[in-house]
Amino acid sequence: MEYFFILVFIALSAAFVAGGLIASRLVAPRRPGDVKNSPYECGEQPIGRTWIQFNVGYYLFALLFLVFDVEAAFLYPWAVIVREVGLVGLIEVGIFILVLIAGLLYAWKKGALEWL
Amino acid sequence: MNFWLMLPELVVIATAFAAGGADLLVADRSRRALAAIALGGIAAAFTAALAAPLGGALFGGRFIVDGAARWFKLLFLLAGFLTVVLSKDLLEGRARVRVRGIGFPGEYYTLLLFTLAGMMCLISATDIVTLYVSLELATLPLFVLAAWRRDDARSGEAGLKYVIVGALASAFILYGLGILYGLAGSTALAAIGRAVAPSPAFWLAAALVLAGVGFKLTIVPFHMWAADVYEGAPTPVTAYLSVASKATGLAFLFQLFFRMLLPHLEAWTPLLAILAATTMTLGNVVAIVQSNIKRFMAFSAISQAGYLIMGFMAPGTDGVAAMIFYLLVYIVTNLAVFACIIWYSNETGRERIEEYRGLARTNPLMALAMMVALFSLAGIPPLSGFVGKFFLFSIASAAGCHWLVAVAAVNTTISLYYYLRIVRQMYIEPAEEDAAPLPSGRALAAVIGALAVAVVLLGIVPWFYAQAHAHAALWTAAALR
Repeated sequence: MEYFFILVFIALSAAFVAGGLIASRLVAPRRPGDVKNSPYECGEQPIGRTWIQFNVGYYLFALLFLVFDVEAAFLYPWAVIVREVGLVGLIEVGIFILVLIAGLLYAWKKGALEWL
Repeated sequence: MNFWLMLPELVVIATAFAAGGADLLVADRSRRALAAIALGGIAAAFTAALAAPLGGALFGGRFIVDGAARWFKLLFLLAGFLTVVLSKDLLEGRARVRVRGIGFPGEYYTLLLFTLAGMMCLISATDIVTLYVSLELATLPLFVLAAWRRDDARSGEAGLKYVIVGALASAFILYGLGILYGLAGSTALAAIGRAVAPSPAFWLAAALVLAGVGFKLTIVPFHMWAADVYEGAPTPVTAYLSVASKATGLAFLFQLFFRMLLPHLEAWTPLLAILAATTMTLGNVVAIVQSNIKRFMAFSAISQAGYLIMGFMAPGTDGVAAMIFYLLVYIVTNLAVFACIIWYSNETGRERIEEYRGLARTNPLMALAMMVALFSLAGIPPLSGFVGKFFLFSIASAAGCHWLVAVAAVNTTISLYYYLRIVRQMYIEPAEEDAAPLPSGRALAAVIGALAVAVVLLGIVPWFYAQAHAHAALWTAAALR
């Protein structure tokens, strides 16, 4: 019997998603125009087609950014409890950052930071 | 705390960083040094794993070394070592057939060593968080390795398919582990096993985890990715996938069933028997019609996974021993076949089965090694494959699963047919007119010879099975405690 509620939950969540989609389709007015159909490029006039090849350098930079992003996400909780975890925590964070730096150095030496 | 227990893993990780760092420093000419670093590190870790005390725990029991854990680690390291040797020629550009777009060897070895470290931590983990993180560490680099030929569309396709299906499998496992944690309120495997009682949510969770592991172990119906990935990946990576990745799947099943769900394993044996039967049957039937040798080996590997999980029918020391012994046999035999495939494809670039014709005329020793390995996979006495299968079949038979043994016996006969297809191409079909003996590198030839001898020795020297049994006894003693 306890699983009956899970069933209800599944049905409700499906209804929630489907209901939102259907309601907006029924209720929303549709007046497409040239401007509305054009791809959004931060308010600028779109130039050229959207199916173009992006420079692979963007992906490299995004990956390297991720390194620092994850680092920050990990350092904030550590900063909150830095007094409680003490020296051991400091060493562990040091190892963590060293691993990240090793990755960054590797990418740097391999020329990932050069813009082609 | 006794950190010596963790020394093999630490050595492997240090070697991974050393290989990656050395790639930055050495000139392109001295790339050989990288393989030497990787090989040296793996050999050192192997020694450390042999020398480490058998039995002990670290981090408050979160990291355990016991019999089967050591056995698995030695097998992982063996597979890693051989894979590095098999990869060398391709990575250093010494293959006769030029393959363009091969990535840096240093990165290759680094990723390979990271997967090794993940696999080794996986079998020692006793906590679902560590278990899951180790599994990811063992899996993620493999996606990259599968796509290692950057200019090759098939290799890219292999990597993409593998990453998508692999992510799905990871999600399954994570969801299942999450439910188990919710039910038990603990992340320790043993505590979960004691705390959960059979209930629909528990069955759902265990089934999710089993499905995720099924992807790794290529259990039917979770095998679909295998053929495409095996075909597209660079051949040494395919060899590694077919042995090490499969061993990881079995290690995870060991963790799941022996460390966690041992009280409930009885209820799972009928399902596992059905899975084993469908896996070996589908793998065998589909392998018959393959024409590409790598796809062929993929389906052969699927059917071998079916035989492998027969050992779960009797979850005692004998069953565990039969499984880990067959794993050793399978790794040695499969790598022997793949070593020949890698050598042939390095020298000629050919991968179709009928292109192996006349190999016995031009290179009789290579053909002999391949024939021995193929016969062992088919289970012909006195080769090791026969002995391994014999133990597994007798386990299932003793457990009362006679129908499963019958299915397995029929399948072995079918498999003999298609393994013989290759032997027929090599020995009976005439060679091409202008076929000349192909040269072979010294390292590769030595590995092929050693593996072929090992395939025979594992079957006729009882010491290896005795070792497996001793390790299994230690493991079951620890798991049943």
